[in-house]
Amino acid sequence: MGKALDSGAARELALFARGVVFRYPRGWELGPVDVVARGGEVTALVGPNGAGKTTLLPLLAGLLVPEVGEVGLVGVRSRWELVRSVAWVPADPAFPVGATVQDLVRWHAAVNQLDHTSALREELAETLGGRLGRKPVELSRGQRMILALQLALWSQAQAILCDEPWSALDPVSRELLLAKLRAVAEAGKVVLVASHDLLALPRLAGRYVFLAAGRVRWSGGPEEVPRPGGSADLPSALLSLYQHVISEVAQ
Amino acid sequence: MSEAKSRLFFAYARFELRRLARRWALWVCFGVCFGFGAFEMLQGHGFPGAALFAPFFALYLGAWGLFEDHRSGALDLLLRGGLPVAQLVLVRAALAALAVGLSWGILLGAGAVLCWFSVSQVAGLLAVSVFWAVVGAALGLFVRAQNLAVALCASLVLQVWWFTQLSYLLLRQPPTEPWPRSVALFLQILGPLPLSETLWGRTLSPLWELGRLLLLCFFFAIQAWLWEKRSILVRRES
Repeated sequence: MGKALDSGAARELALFARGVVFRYPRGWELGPVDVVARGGEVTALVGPNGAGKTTLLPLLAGLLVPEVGEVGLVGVRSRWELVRSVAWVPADPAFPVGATVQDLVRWHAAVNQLDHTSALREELAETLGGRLGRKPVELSRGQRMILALQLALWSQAQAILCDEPWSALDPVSRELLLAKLRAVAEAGKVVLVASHDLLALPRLAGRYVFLAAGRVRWSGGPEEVPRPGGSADLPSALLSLYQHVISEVAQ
Repeated sequence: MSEAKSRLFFAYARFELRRLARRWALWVCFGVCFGFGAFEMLQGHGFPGAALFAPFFALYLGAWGLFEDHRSGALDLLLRGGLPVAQLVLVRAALAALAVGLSWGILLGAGAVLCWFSVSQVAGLLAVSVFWAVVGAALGLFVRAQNLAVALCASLVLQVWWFTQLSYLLLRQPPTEPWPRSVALFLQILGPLPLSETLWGRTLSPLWELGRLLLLCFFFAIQAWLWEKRSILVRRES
């Protein structure tokens, strides 16, 4: 699962977007957005559909270039270094056409200098039911997600960005994933998860960023989440925040 | 090149070789064409016509799968390995050029050694194949390999048509006149035929093919610069 960072490096490690604006050719606009996800904790990116979560993640991964503003990972200087240092797992992961699961494992083992390929293959074969010779397109959506997440977790990336990572997973796989993401964050890396699952997120996230209509509406720790009407638990408070922001955006 | 960089290059080349090797229909076509070329050469002791398909294979191999990877967002998985887009494209182009260049180069080289045809004819064909391998890999990110191959076929038809009829029809001049010749030069750059196989270029030195490669280097440098500045991801989810 990659190397753990020492505590000093983990404290300094942060993935950030400063004053980022991104426009799609047909006019939809994200930003200006300021976001920081720190190493050592899981940051949850929440917000209603169309808020810009799925656009923000590839921007932070260096795959989209902002029109204005700056995106980076502390200590990383060039764009390609950022792309290499940030693993982005989209909600419906895609894989190179014609490649088998085996090819992808070999490729990842080679570029990340992992010398225990057979152990990786065994781990993956167990989860995918021994289907390593198949092409990812022949796997189920959940299995494709497991494969993409596993490749990201094996990589030497300093930051892992996931978009709805457990929406297609069975409960057992979901619990396993939550534990793995927690372990990655505890190892000092940046973990940023975009999800609508208000029940699972409180078990994982140490910080929340609430996005709506392309802008950050609120960010902070679980204890800072506004609790209108004195709602006691975090999922209810987050749901209230959703309702409040959606009605505000609608007006 | 640093050790880490060369490790990445070879890892990526192996990855590409594995997935290209599974395109068995393509390799069957290639084998049939190559076998027919060898048969033609041995029978006629001359430059085989089947060899003129080599640039098509170079283009297709260079481009195959890149468009789909770019559109789906799968390119990110490869970029995460640490090679920028320009270098991924170059590795793919090198593999395509090597596969086509080595096979046809060895076969035609043997024919040239036996003096069945000139070395310059072989050099011209190899230069054109390398050109189309790089063009295929560079344009393959934006256009499907099949569409690129069809476009190359169309440019070949246009090139031949220009010489046989079009020049007379449009300019009322034979294709050997200065103005139609400049159009022919343009079509030559866009076409798969080496100079030695065209009606007007037989007398020219195959070194002229280098001009095509210089032009390619210029455009590739511009494209590499653009890749540094622009978004790589095409797909949008929201």
